[in-house]
Amino acid sequence: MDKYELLFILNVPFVFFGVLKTIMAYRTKISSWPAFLLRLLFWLLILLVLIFAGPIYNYLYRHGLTDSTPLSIADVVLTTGVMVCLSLCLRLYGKIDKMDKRLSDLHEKLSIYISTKD
Amino acid sequence: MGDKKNSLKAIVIVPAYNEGQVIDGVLKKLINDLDKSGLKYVDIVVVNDGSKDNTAEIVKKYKNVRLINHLLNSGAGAANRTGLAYARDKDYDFAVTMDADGQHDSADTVRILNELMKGSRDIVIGSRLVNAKGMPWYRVMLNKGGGIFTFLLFGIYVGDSQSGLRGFNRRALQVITFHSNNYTYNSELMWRIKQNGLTVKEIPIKAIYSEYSLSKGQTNWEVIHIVRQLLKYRLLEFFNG
Repeated sequence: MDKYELLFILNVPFVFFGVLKTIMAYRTKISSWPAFLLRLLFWLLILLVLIFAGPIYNYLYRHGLTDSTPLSIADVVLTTGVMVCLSLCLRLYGKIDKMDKRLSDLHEKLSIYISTKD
Repeated sequence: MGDKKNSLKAIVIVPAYNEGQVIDGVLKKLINDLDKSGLKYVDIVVVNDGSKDNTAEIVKKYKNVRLINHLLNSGAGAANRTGLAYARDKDYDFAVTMDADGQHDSADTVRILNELMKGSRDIVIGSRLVNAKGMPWYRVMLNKGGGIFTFLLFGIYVGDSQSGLRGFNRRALQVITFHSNNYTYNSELMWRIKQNGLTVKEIPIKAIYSEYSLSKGQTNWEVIHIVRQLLKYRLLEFFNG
C-alpha cells in the first residue's frame, strides 16, 4: 500500500470525529454559526492536506520549499502517534476542565448552603 | 415609576479576602450611602473567600449583612460567582459587585443600582478609565491592555473590562456563568456577555487608590497567567465545543 494512502487511512478517523463533534456542538447550540464555520474549515483543511499530502510534498520539493526526504513508514507512524497524543491530551484537558467546573460548583453550593442554613 | 423602583429587590455583593483592615469602613460607608439613597430593598452579602484574618468576625457584627464563607480560598472569580449564584437563588432583581479593599466609592454603587433600575441595559459597568486621574500609569496601561486583549480574543470591547464594580439585572443574573476562579473571570465575563447577547453600559466612577488598595488585586505578573488561561479557554472551546 502507498505510504500516503496509509497516512490518510490512519488519520482520517480523527478528522471524521472532529467534524462530527463540530456538527454536534452546532446542533446542540454549544457553538455559534461563525465558530461552527471556523471549526469546520479547520478540519476540512486538515482533510485536504491528508488527501493531497503526496502532491503537496512534490510541489514543495520541486519549488525548493522543502529539502526533507519523502514520506517513510516511520514518518506515517510518527505523524499518527502525534495525532493520537494530541487528541488524547485535548480530551483529558476537556475532562479535567469539566471536573474543575463541577468541583467549583459544589464548593459554591456548599458554601451558600452552610452559610444560609442558620 | 418611583413605587415600582422601590419594590424591586437588589443586592450588593462584596467579595473579600483578608480585608480585615478596611472592610469595617467599607461596610459602614456602604450602609450609610444605601440608607441615604432611599432605595428600600437592598441587601448586602459579603463573600469571605477563606480569609485568614478577622474579616469574617468583623462582618458578623453587622446584623443586616449576610456573610457567606467559602470553605476554601478560591479566588476573586469564585467569590464573585458565589455572590451572583446567591443573588440568582434568592431571586433578586438586581445585583452589584464591588471590591472590599476600599477602591470603590459606595456612592458609585448606588449610581449603578439607579442606572440598572432605569432598565435600559442588562449590565452596567463602573469604568475607572473614563477619568483615570489618580490611577497609576501602569494600572491604566494594564487595564486598557486587558480591554484590547479581550476584544482581540472574544470580539467584545469594554473600556474597563477589568473593573470590579458591575451591576446585573435579572436577565443577566439568569444567563451569566463563568468558570474562572481567579482574575481571569473579568475577561471571561465579557466573553459570556457577548455570547448571551447582553447589553452593556459603562458609567464613569471614581477609583480610590491607597497604598493598601494598590497592594491588593491582580499583580502585573499575574497578567501572563491570565493571558495563558484565556488562550487555553479559547483553544479548548474551539476543539471541545
